[in-house]
Amino acid sequence: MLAGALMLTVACRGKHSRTTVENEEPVEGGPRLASAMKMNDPAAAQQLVKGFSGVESGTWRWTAKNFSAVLRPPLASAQRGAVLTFSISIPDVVIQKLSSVTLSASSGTTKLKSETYSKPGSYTFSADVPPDLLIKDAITIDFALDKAIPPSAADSRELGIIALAIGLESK
Amino acid sequence: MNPAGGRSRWLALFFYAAPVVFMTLLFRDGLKCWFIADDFAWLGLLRQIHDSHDLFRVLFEPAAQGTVRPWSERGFFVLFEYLFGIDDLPFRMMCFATMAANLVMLNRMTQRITGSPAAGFIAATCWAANTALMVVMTWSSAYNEAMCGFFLLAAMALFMKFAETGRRRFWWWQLVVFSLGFGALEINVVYPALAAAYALFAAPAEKRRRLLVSLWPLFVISTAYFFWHRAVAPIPTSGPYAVHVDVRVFRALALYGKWSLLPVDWTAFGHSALAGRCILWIGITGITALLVGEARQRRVTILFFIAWYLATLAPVLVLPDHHSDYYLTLPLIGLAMLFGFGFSRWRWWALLPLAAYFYGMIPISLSATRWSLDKTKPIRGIVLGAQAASEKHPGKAIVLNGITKGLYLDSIGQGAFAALGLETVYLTPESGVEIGSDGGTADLEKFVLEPDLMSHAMKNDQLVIYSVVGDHLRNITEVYELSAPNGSHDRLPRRVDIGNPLYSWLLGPSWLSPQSGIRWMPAQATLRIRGPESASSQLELSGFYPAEQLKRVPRVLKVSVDGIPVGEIKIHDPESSFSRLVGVPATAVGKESVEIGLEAGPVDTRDGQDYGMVFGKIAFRP
Repeated sequence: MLAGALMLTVACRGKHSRTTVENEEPVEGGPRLASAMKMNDPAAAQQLVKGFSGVESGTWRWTAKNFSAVLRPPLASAQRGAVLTFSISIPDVVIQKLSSVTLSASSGTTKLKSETYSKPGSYTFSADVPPDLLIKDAITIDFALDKAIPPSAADSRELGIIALAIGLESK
Repeated sequence: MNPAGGRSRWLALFFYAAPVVFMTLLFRDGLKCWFIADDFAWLGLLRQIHDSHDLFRVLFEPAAQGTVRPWSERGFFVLFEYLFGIDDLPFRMMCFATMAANLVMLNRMTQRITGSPAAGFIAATCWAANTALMVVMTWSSAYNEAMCGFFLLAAMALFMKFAETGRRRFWWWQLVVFSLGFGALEINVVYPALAAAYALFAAPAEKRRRLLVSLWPLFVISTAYFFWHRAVAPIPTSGPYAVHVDVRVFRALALYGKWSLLPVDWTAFGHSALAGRCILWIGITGITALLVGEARQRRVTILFFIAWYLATLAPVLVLPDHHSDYYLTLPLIGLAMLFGFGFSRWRWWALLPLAAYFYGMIPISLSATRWSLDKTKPIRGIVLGAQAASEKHPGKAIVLNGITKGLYLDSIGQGAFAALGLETVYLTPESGVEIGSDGGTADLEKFVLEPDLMSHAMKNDQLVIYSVVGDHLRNITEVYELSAPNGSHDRLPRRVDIGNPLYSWLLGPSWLSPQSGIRWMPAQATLRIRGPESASSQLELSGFYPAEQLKRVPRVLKVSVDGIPVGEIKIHDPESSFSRLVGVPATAVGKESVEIGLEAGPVDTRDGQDYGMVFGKIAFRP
């Protein structure tokens, strides 16, 4: 027992995979901020700044009730404006538990659009983004759902909707 | 070698080993659970120990809520962190090993009472399956329950050996083990009642009187402990731990009885309520039938198991506002022995209630343990992620985005960063909004950076921003700066955390270097801050002064705003931590920058350096 305890002490001391975490750091000379991205695009993951879970089934991510993404305004959008396109899926379980969900998008204090979904399925949420929001190098789109499935015994995450892709297109 | 003897030895080994293997498999995810909540308070203790005096204080000084558990909490965390660092696995292994020892002792004890190896096996397996053990099997701060179980079972095993052999040395060893048990958990106080119940109901009739008389010193020790504990930790009369002895005791008993047979989260994990009711009633019917059968036969052994259940549950029955299935960990030993006893009486007829019990417990124990593991993964991600980020970006503050209220309450709000010595980890203003300021987030302001400060620090390359991605962090500094959600205004903040290096640019030249979130001023110091919103605003000053020095002479602090005196604060012993509000002059209202002047006296001088006062925070309050 003593020998076992000593071996354990030696094996567990210092830094090893259980006592360290490898963070995602930006790649030197890596790609610039993207205007559009799929949820499974590893290069664009840093632009999902809040409320997105990890990639599931290699394609999609659960969102929380509030979530945000940063996008690069596309060429000429500062003059003409842009259209925000957000590909989502409303799963059965969300409608069963919440009956409907309303998705609202905003940037800073400007509200872009709200849309209510009461049936499960795939949808594309589109909203016009005025030119004055697109003059900087990046724009933060804040999304909010009116309801979400709270963390439960079965899943410790807050579950909103399923996100597939997001992007800005110049008008 | 006798083949029959060999087979029986293998069977005996199987009866002891199988429940341990079963428990390990059932709660295997608990071996991977990382630290959470109270764990961080205990992990921070090692940093407070610099000499033997500190070690004694850390181990034995009663905590604010009156608990003194030197072996199972403080000693456990201090020793294991000293040996292994911030590695969860040795902590979890120790808990599993202790529970394995408990299972073997429970098994042996039930075998001795019933005379049936199968009954011991059933008792140990029933205890191992119960979902109420999930907390102990996943959370290192709950190790006290496992260790208390170890002391109770070991002391009882020695008492039974004393009863069987009459050798005094077993009685003395029992006394030693029982006395040490007070360092694990307060419930140890009920041990003499458990031993008395054994003597009355389970020991041979001719030995009862002698065994009972032998227990009087233990009752004296428990009574003395009770009064000592009341003296250092008066019984609460308000809050969730308030003690009330009234009809609600029976409601609590009914609730705990229900949770003993059916997991509290049965329906939460998607199982049918009807099936739950069936499990519950099969269990209740089985226990009632067993009790009636024993009563008709005038056999009293079963009362020992019931006494164990009630005696170890009694201390929490008087808390009507605080119920948790984890409190069942030790009482369930009594129920498990009763199940084993029932099997020894009924044999195959006992299989129906046992099958219903396992059908209810096993899936929930598995799911609940996985749920606990999932809950600790992001905590590991932000705490070890912040440590990795600090090492990668030395000299820079680490700022976390996307922290939810749950994550905050389970880690940062419990001192997770302090436990690892991470002094410059903060939260974005957006995280602060997400967490909110209600319920249990008292220290939030300490962590959340003001937008104006954040903007200044970003421009001066003083910080790196990360978001939480499951079990690790992602560097989003560039993205965050580009989007600059709160603008890039150049305003001064209305709050200055004096000990936070990110605020250094607002401090005058005389302040000393920051130390662990605080900073000394000499006799005089100044700082800049944005003017108050209105004339009704007040200036809040929070700080600290060492008690030993305050005992010698009170300190006086003179405060001015733009050279106008606004207050003179006296700080007397025993108020070493202070927080004061002073009025502000109308001329300061709405100004982009005002200068706060501070003058402390008398000062202490050490090695030629004046030490006036320690500050934490200075802010204008609306």
